[in-house]
Amino acid sequence: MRSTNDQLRGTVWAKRRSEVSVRSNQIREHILKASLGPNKTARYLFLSEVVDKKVQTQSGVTVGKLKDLVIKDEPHYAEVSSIIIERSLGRPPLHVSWSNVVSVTREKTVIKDPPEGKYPEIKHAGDQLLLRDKILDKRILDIEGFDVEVVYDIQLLLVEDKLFVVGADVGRHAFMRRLGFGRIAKSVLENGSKEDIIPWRYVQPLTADLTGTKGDVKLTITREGLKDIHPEDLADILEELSQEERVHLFNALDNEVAADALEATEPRVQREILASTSSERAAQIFTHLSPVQIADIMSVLPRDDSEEFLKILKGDVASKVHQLLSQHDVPASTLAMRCFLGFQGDLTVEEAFTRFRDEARACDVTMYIYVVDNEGHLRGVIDINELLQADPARKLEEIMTRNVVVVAPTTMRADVEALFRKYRFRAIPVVGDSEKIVGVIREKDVFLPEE
Amino acid sequence: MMKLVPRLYYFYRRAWKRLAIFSAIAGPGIIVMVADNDAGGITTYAVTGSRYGFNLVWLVVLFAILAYFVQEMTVRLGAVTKRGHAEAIFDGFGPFWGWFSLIDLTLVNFLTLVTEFIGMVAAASIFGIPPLLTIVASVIFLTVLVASGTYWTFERITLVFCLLNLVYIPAAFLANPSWSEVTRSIVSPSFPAGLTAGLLTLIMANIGTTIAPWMLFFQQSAVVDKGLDEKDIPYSKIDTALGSMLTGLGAAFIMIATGSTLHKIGVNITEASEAALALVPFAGQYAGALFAIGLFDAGLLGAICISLASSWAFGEVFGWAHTLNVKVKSSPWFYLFYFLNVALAGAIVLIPNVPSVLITLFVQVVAVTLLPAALVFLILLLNDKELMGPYVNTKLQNVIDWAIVVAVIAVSSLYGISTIFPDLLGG
Repeated sequence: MRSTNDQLRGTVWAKRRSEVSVRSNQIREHILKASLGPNKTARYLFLSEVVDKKVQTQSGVTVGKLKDLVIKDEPHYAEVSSIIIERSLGRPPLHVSWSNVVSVTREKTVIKDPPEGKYPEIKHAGDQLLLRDKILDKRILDIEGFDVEVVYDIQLLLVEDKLFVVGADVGRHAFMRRLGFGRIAKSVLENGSKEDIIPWRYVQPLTADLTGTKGDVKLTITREGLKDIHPEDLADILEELSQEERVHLFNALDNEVAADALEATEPRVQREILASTSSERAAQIFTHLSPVQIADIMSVLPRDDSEEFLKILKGDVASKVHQLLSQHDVPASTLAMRCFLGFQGDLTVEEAFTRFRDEARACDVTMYIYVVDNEGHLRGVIDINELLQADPARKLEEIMTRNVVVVAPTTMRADVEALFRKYRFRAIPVVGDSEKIVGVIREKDVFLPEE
Repeated sequence: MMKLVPRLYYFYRRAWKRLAIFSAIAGPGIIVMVADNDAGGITTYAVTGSRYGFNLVWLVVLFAILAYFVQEMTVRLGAVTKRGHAEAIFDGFGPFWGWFSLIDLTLVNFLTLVTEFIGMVAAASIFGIPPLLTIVASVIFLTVLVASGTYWTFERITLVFCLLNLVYIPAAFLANPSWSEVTRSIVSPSFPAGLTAGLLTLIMANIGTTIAPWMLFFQQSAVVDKGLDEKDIPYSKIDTALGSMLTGLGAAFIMIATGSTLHKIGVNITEASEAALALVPFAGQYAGALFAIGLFDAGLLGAICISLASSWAFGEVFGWAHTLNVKVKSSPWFYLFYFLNVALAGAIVLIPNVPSVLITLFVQVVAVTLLPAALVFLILLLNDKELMGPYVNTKLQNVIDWAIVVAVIAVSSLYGISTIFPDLLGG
């Protein structure tokens, strides 16, 4: 009973399937090579087939029911190190070392007669894991398919006197079997594919070890995997998780990825994530977002929280966000991004490429290059598409579009929106007095997700 | 994102697992709350129902909620400190208050135990069972129940008796009450014919039976003996809440049963066993029998919890082994004290012409001196940040708990005084 409450946490496990095709049988081979001579046999078992079956001693005394298997997690495979036996009438469960187990079958588990009347006590080590309690029926995050699945069963491999964990079964067969329709599944469904079983190597705890110190190796693998997921998919995954899991996953993300994922999630989730994010981290994440995006997120927060976050923003961003939050309609100058690419007209296309590579990374608006003169007056615009197609030797002023659609800093959002609708540009420059370019408004900062 | 079928399966499995955990943790809360409807409680509710019909049903529902807030504190205190209430008072407030509480508790528990036996004897006699047989059988049963050497056995068997407490529901249905009137009482609470002195006394008696000192001691010790931890607190709270629902339900249905029959005809009763007999002509012999079974069960449950509460408290203070998880041989004093308590209380009931009215009076007086101390100590301990850590009382909890404690102390003191000087309230 004491152990039962923890397991409700840590419900999500991460898996990586990318290498499955190459290594799907690796664990089996590894185990076979390590411990199997030519004459030995190996037998597959499912966890659901052996738990809740009676446990007897060799002399035939029924001890109780098999409640759980304790595994020791190794980098490539996991081996069962002890078993937990549930006893009737409220007696505390027995914890028996694997060395005392004689056999495990679908009918019953047989253990040795207790030496001196009692089984030696087993100390719980930190790297031990309860297979049924912590993994069975838990959710598993498919990092490649961006999908959340359920561990319906766990495949075990019994080799001579050792029991190994092969992988987590997420397939339809296992699902039917757990619902008690195993026979029907066998006759109706085609044979389960190997893909259904995720090798143990790729099953890693997401919550328990990501922030812990003991799982450093797992941590890097998972982080690498997370980086490759599209922010929109991450957002979906975040929405799928529980609050605690969400925080763990979010903390494992890079600031930039975290920013994109945060922006893409639904308001309720944004609220919950920010509530448990430190202000330092929030400040770092906000540097990857535009004032409009920040204001959008702030608008769903409780007032106290949003004011606190406003404090950590830099002066100019903070005032814009404040303006966006407090006013129904805002002028173009608030919506505009300061960082855009403004090149001189006498640059060649090739030179422009070089500068683009250097500067674009740190910039907010990179789909257009604005051609300016020495004083910063806007002379023309070049779509990045046009630049790519142009002759490298030509000058920018030769290929630029001279008739640029611009807005004044005082133009209100509604009017800016109308322009975007009409011309279908992805960005529109804001031009102040004497045609000086002061910033660029991106399409996504004008059309907010919920509008 | 997650497909519908796996999602449903996941939530189904998770719910199932939580239910399994809950059923392992549940026990102390349900037991203490249902045992709260002890023989004295049944009498009070039956009398209230026969006098005021359905009019006060809302009141017992409210009291059940109050009881939850009080008992929930003992859960947290027990799970965090791993000590019983008597021990906690000794450690927190010194030997004077410790001895004061212990002696008071033992005394009031013993006398209440006597009233439980009186209730059981009265209920059994309806079926023609002689008092001697009832007492001897009960004492033997009560002793065997705890002597198994595992807390689990005691708890699970006692839970079955808690289930038996639900017989008042069919009894009430047999009495064929007007449900619209019952609903009206709960939806729009009111006092019939104003707040008269007689009504006030009954209300006070109802509070007195709903929140009793032994309940605090029992639940905290049970939580400790069961070995519950901080992480089990949420489930234990649900356990307590479920218990308080059951106790409210039980009390309400007793009132409905007597209110729809005896009140209508105008029969006034003073004892629960009279209610059982009086029900027969109006609701049939089954309703009467169910009522009698309920009364016996209530007395038995009360006897179990009360004598255990005393034994745990004594064990804690005297440093005896005080857990049901050891065999009788390993903690003889604990079990001996328990047995003597039960046997002596039973013996007293066998004395002819036992002054039961005097005993009831005395119980009220002693309880009135103990309850305020125990409640105030409880709240003070729960506000001890060092002791409770993250489980310390929140502001909201403090507001609710203090309000309840002040109200209960005021009302129960008034009740105690009014039982000694019945003329004070004019009647």
